[in-house]
Amino acid sequence: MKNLIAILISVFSINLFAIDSNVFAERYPTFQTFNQILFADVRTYFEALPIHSLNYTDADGVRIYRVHYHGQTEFSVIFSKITRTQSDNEIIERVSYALENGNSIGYEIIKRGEGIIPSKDADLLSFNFKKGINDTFYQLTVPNYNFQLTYKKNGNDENTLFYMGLMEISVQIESHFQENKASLDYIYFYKGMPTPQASLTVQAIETTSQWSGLQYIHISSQAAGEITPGQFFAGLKDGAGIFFGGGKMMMQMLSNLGFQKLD
Amino acid sequence: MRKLFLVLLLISCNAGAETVPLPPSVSSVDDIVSEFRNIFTTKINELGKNFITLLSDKTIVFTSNTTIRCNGNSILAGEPLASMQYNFKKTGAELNEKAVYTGCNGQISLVEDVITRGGKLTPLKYDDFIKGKRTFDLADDEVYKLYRLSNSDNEEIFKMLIERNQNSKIVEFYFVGEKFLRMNYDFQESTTRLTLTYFPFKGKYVRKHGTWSFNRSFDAFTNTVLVTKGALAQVNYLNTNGELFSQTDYLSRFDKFITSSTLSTIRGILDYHNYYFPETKIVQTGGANERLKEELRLAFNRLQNNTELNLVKKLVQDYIDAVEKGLISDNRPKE
Repeated sequence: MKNLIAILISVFSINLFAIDSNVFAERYPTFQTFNQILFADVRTYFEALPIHSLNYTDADGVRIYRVHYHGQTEFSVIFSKITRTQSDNEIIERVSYALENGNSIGYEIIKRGEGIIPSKDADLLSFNFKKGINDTFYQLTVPNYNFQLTYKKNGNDENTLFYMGLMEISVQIESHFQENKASLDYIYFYKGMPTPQASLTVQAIETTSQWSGLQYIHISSQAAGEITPGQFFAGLKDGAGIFFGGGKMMMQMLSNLGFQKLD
Repeated sequence: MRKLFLVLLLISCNAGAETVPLPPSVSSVDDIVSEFRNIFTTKINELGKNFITLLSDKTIVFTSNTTIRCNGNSILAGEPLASMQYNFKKTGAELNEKAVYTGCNGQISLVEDVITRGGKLTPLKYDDFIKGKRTFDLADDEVYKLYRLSNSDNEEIFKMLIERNQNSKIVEFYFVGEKFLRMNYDFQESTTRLTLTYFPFKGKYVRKHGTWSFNRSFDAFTNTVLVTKGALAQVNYLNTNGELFSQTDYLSRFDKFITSSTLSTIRGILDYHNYYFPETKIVQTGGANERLKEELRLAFNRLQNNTELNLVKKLVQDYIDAVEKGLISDNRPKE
């Protein structure tokens, strides 16, 4: 009985002082925000593909799209296929789009965690990447773009690494939670640049006053100290330019492979 | 004895809590206050985003990491640029709240006093205070509220007094000490009647670099909104003679005598008081707009491909609802 009371007291006291895991959720972009920016144009293309084509699924589960050239009777053919392998607490999903010229684009998602569920086919086919709530590990690899995103969750702490080989840039987003303090870091690694590494950090610290709750402190490595929220968000916006630029490059590459424009 | 009276009043008020709602086009107490206070709310909100926030007990101090020019003076990095102080005192069934907003060079810009009487009285939350947010209408268990907005010399700019009795609520609005509007709510089982009385007034508000003079000369008159419960609630608008008139007539009078005149003048005065604070810029926080952009991108895609138009219609309707609830705010410059 004493042990039970001790456990209850410790559980309640931990929860009483622990910083809410959603402390950054309202105002600060997550890796999913950047992923959405990066794949926005590609997603638009593959969402429109089934609408601009005659399409059907064959007996092998291959989706075939016939896309007519603008104003012509001739058409090109695009094939897509989803494959899934599922074992205990792990799902691997692979998607490929292939053209008649032999070129293709594809990606792989590996998800791990208890109670994870497969992605919806419509999301997979449209490059709409949605990490599930139970995914403690989520990895997306797009070899054509030399791109990899790796997300790991450990307790409330989260760590995401974007590797964008096309631009030789990596972006890491990591959050750490302590009893009275939480921090969220955006770290940018630029290979061959004058400043190879830069970071923006926001800390949420519990104040001693019950009324005021949390105090947010914004820090920039380049300013070597505290900055205003406005400067912090301006820095994040500049950093997001990497993802906008990456998205345009991806779309250009799709066109170079031979994926025809959709009218 | 006063506490007992309040408790009895609360019980009787709550017994008739189910009232027939007024249509959304009829401005509420909070609609009226926000018409001018929003300009101040935006400033407060932006101070928190443009500057470094330091907390000590119930005072929020804004500083910068660079030297800032404000009202002709240079304020060094780390020195206080502006501050907001909140204090409250609860005595029995009465809550007294005071907020003091101080701009550059320690000059007090505005002071807000709120006195509330009722049952569950809770002080303003920090998260709301730092965003300049608060509501002014009575909560279910409140029976009295006084809101007073004044300057550093304790000159009253605006005052609002709300009192609830068993089946009624009276709200009076004052500008520089002159009453300009009374809203008298009468709640019955099957009807709600709101009688607005518009009052003439004249006065002057003088500060160092600005003078506002006004002379609203007309005979006091009333307009009434009467809502009758039913499957489809019946809304009638009555003019000062008790004759039916249109919603448009009702709204245009409200706009002419209140929104575009008195409230607009108060808004101008608060705009002047915002100059006590350092200059701020609209700051976009990350994340929130990306969701909006993603939804708009998808809607655009649907429109372009002429597909799932019902979902686009639903999305637009959702946006209208979200704007009306204040979940989406428009920071674009005024047209």
